[in-house]
Amino acid sequence: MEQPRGEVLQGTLDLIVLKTLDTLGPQHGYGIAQRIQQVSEDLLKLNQGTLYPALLRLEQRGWISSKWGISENNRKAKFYSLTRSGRKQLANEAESWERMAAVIARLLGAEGT
Amino acid sequence: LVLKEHEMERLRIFVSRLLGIFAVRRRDDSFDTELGNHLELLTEENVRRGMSPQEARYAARREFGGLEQTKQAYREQRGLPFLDTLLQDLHFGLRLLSKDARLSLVIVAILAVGIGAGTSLYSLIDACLIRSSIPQPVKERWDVVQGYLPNQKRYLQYMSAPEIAAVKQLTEVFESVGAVHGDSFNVTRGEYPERVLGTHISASGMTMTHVAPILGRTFREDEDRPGGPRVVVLSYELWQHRFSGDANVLGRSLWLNDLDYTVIGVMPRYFDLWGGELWIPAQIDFANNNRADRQNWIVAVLREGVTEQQANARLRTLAKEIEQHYGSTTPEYRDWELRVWNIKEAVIGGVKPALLVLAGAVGLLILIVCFNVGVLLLARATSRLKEIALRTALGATRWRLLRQLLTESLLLGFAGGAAGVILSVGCLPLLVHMIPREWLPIAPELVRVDHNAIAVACLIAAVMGVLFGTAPALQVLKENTAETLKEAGSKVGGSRFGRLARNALITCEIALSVVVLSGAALMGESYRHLEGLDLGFRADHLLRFMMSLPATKYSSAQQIASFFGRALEQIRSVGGVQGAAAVSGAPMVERSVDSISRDFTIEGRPGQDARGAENANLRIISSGYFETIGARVVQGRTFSDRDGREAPRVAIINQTMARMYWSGANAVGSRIQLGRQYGRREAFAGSEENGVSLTIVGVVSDVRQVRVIDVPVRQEIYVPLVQQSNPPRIMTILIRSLRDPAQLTRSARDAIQTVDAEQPIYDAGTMEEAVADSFGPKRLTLFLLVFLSGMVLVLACTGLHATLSYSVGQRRQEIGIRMAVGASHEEILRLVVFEGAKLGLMGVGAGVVTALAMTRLMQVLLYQVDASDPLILGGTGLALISVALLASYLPARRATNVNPTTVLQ
Repeated sequence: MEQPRGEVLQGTLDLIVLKTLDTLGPQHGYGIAQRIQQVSEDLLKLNQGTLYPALLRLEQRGWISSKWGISENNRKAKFYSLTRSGRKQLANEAESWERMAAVIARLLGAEGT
Repeated sequence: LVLKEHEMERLRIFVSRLLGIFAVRRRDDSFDTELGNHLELLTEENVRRGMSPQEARYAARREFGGLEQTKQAYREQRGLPFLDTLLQDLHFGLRLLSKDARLSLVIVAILAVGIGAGTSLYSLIDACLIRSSIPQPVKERWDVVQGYLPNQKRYLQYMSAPEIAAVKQLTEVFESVGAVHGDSFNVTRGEYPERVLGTHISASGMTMTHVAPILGRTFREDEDRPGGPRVVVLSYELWQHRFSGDANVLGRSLWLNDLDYTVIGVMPRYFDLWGGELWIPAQIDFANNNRADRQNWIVAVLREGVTEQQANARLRTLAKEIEQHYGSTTPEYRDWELRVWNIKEAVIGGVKPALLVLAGAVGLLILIVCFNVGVLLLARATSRLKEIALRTALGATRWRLLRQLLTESLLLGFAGGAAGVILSVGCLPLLVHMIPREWLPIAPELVRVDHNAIAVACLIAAVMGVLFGTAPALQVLKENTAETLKEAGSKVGGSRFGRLARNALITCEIALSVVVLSGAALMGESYRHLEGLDLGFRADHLLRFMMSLPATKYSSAQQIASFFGRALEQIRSVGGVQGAAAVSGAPMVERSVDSISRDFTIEGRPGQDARGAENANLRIISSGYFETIGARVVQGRTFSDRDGREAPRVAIINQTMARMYWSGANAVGSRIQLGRQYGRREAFAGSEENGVSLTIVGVVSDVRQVRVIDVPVRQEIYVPLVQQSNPPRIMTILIRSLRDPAQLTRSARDAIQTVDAEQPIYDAGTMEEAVADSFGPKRLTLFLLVFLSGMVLVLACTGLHATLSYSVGQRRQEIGIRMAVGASHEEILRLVVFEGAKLGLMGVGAGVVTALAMTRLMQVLLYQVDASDPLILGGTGLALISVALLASYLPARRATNVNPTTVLQ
């Protein structure tokens, strides 16, 4: 039996992409998608296509930047990397995510007792 | 940081999105590459996992999700949806316009011509007729304070020191008050003596201009007092030619009327304050209590927030106070008024009618352009009925269609506007170049395209686009879709509405053309009359220049008279000189009012005083004056040697005066006495010699004296120079020559310098030039009107031609049927030409009626021509009808080429 795969929560994709770029350094879209799937051990159902509008959005906000380069298999690919304001944003979002997660966890815990 | 962080971010997103709109194709390509790579990598990965290539590709697609959705989401994220549609509209619009390239080009060309010609002409009119007549650095806010004497119906432009002082007291009304008057100076002790125009101006008047000198400074208040230092500020031009632009000019001396003035400043190029090339402090003596000694204009700037009415109210009370205190000693204060005039109005007043007519003609031109473009756009919109109906049927919303049509017309409007601006910038110098230099009152390089005019023209283009783009669109959208789809292709002659609207527009266009053309024709006719006008003297072969004797050297009447006597004698001995004479005011020099006039009484006719407006011009002349200028003696004789210093005092009058006071009977032998004098002091040095009896010894033909030659000749008195106890030092010398008079200037100057080596002459020129000059503004107006009429005519032709061509295109089937049932080529030709003639006739009819109403407004500009002259109006109408017929002939020819078999298939 396949484990049920969770949908990516609204607004969390940005955080995931930022964190991925933070860990991997400059990476192309395929690499990012692979990494997300690896880390989530396929628990996350990600339409890889949805990554691109998100990447564009992040770029428009100035959190990531992109430039054309050569991929490991010698293909022209667009590499995305974290900008300084992106790094700051990641810290902010990670913190607020943790806060939110803690609140949710506490809420759920309180219900349990 | 002024912007908050998230605002910055929003701005960045917007900019990025905005940029995303452009280079759409390239970005799409690059995104396709990126996605393609992703899919290939996925596929390769799947192959590595052991799938077949086919399977691997499908799996990759699955994992990736919807490819097109991704692209759409990406595009939406990238651009601004609203602008995207707009770009689509633009794109589509451009495609449609280029499909109909000829028509689009014609529309853009017409718009360009209208906007280009309109803005060029406006700029030219502004530069020549408005800006040139106003002291250049003067702000809109400058006013002049002038008196009005209702009993004499006369303005007091010049004011005396006590009057200026009184106005200066009104600090609650005026921010600053200055005094100014023009003068001319003999500049000596350089390489050559010359005569230069200059201005006496108070220190406050100079600072009011808010123009800083490029070298040195202007006057200080403490220099502007009687007996103050002799300092002078130079114009850029004088600095260049007298000091060769010497950077160390400050502190050097300039000798004016034999007095040395220290140069303290140089004004920037084109600085023009009351004309003139130098400025010296007015140094008004406020201790001078002579209230009739009026020498200066008062210029003033109203305090912020003070209205003209308030200022006039305050000035009225001031005038009343002055009248109460000094009315007994100064009779002109009776009922007098003081008031402010905006300097622009005060100076433009004279050219206003010409300006209005020209501005009106430019306005009509633009209207005609509007109509023309309207006609073309209407024709086009009607021909698109079917397309629009189809798009409606396919589900396009009305708003979307309207937007599409609007975008197209705006596109045309802006293209036309841009082309017009380019045309205007490119053509204005050409237009300026076409105008002879001497007609232009200002330096040609100062005529620049007016930015306001361009802005207005572009606005007009946009409004035209909206109006003529949506009007047919609305009409098209109202039509029943299904009906249109069925009929649009076969409807004969296009929709009724479209046709009516087109015909109405073209009729209006022709009507307006008639108005502009008849205006030009009337001006031309009036100019012809003016040129044939009898000036009362012979302007050919006449040289003219001025001399001003310095008071330091020539103080007595005898010295002055003997100098001019000897100088004239010397000139007469020069080869080629037929005659020479001196006069206090040469004909065709003064602008519109003669410089000197005097009240007079006729002995033996008590109670018949000629005062104020009824008085006579006065001219002081040397012997031989009438012979030299070629005026006819009607009765009696001219002055001769027997009218010497000690001989009985004599005078000569002109025919107008003889007719008015002696009703044609013999005036010779009657005696007159001169009374009060009017005019500028510096122009008339003669003291008031009241009560001396002058015997009239002759009557001469009327001479046109002022440059505005269509004002009636006034009564005039001539007196001999030698009999004056205080003769003028400024005189004009007139020389009749056998050869080209311009060549005589040098030898005449040499002849004068044998009498006084330091005496300069100035303002030299031929009388023919002066006469031509006086036609200048009228000629310029005429030139511009003719130019405009040409454009209007071309536009009217294009409009009519386009309408008829279109209508022929629409009626191809009808024409085909007619031909099939046996109509001859001539009948078809007549059919179309008749349609054109009908429009032409209606237009001309409406035009003549409009012209009758509108040309009346220009009656003041006309000379001996009736604004409703039937010959001129009729001729213009006929000319336009022939042009209309011509414009219809070409489309008619095309109609006869219709091949019935192809059309009816």
